[in-house]
Amino acid sequence: MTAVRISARVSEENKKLVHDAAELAGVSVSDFLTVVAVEEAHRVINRERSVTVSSKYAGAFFAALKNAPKPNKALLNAVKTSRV
Amino acid sequence: MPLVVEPLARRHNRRGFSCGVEKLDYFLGKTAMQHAENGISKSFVLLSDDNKTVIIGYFTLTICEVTIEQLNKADAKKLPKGHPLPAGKLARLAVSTDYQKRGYGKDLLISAMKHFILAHDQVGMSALFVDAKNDSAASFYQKYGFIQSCDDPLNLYLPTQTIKNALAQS
Repeated sequence: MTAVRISARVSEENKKLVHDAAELAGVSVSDFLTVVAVEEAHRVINRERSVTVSSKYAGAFFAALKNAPKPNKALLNAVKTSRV
Repeated sequence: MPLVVEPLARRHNRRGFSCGVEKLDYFLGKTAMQHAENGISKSFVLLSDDNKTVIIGYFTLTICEVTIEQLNKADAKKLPKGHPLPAGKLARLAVSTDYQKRGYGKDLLISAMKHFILAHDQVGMSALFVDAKNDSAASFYQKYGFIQSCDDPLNLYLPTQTIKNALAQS
């Protein structure tokens, strides 16, 4: 795997902060930034691609799929008055 | 003013769009076109039929998978075991600051639902999920019947059948 560069503009203050943190963690600034950025990238992408219905709401979700609630007045009205 | 919804295209002034939420402006200006071309998500713009360069608002649709936590055994049996359910996701919806408070959000939502149903009719999706960006956005969706899906009140859904029924009754 060929490593390529990725660059970002940061303030002097943030640059020092990242340097200090990487030193404390005992890794290079490059490795430090990569780990943090990749982790965050996965989090952001997962958030867009997947949703979780938590157990407290699962029963209601399942019931709503099986017996879909009737569209409410606001929704019916929005469909009726839609300009598109 | 006659309105039209079109798939986002390079001729639209997408970098000039401003809705007051920087993330939503950035996405339309920088990312939405690439995503549409690469099949990651599709964005649609609301335009005035008289002047098709100005974007009144936009929405972005994509698909997502729904993981249901700890369903009881009787209900779990009726669903494909161990697999998440397919669903639609209304990932973004925004109205330009020049056009807010005039009901365009409602028009964008209905248009998004129509596009979602077109996709559902081809591939099948259980519900339309939405990531509301803040509390007032969440109450906008709740007004139209969207239901909370987890402890985070910004994650909401409406079953596909409810949307189909709403669109059919017009």
